[in-house]
Amino acid sequence: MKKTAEMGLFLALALILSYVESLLPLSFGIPGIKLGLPNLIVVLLLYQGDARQAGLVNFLRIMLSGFLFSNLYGILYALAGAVLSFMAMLLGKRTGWFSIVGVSVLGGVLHNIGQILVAMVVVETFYVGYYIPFLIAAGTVTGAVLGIVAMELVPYLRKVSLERGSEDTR
Amino acid sequence: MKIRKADIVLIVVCMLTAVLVFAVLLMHRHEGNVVRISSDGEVLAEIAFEVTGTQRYLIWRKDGSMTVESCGEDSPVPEQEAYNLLSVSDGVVRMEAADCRDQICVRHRAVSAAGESIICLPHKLVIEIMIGAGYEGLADEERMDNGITADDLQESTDEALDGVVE
Repeated sequence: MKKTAEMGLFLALALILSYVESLLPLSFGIPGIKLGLPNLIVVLLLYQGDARQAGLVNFLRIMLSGFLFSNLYGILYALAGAVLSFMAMLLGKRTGWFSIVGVSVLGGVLHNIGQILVAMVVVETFYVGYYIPFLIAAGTVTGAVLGIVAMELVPYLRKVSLERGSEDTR
Repeated sequence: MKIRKADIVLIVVCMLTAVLVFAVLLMHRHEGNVVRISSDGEVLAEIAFEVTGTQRYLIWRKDGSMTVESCGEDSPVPEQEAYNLLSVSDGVVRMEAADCRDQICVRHRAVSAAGESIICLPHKLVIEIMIGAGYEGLADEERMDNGITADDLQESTDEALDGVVE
């Protein structure tokens, strides 16, 4: 029961961040590049909870934000990006080499690559090579920044969870 | 939790890859002289352009099928249909206007080199720069890369221009 409530909270946070991102008129003139604010929540949940929780919240926030702020095509792009980036983050975490920052960078880069792959299929062109350097660079920067934010947040979240835990035992 | 050495290595490797790919692309850059307009994977027109002079093309759904129309300064922008207005000026191609929701294609920087493209995802429209017949230097090699022969190109350009109203 507590788990469900926590996941609902994380999902709500991810949706708020999706909304904030949809408000920002941020465009690099390149399809596929996003700030990836909601990914902050997914990374946090990957460390705070487990892979299943993070995956579920990730999937739900894409479906919900897709229907709220975009359309079916938007969902298709977002899903492709999210699946690739989630797999990369999961693998990155499993290796144990990286901290939350490295995992977030992997997520950012692979998210952008996934989006351009779908764009390639949808518009049936292979002339997207020119975008690749920008996609990698942008994914690295946004991933690193969000990763550092996540790293700073983790101790506070731990504290909140512990306090709540002691309340439960009372 | 602290940043680990592997994180820094990852970030540096990613940035280096980006710079490297960019450098390689820059070295293989050749100015194009043909613009190909395709929608949903279907080539609508391949138009050869000169390095001087301005041309504008209106791409919209006319009577149910996507059409490319050459237009002048005062472009007749359709009010109801989805449209894209492409301008070719002094060898540089850019999307002048469009009524797509994200406006990414309009904000896209102008393109001129072979292989560069402007994509309008909401309208499933792709503008590609290519190298066609009559180009000195690496034209043949480039064409082979693209899998297009001079004859193909001539043919399709002729066909495409049949539909273009001057």
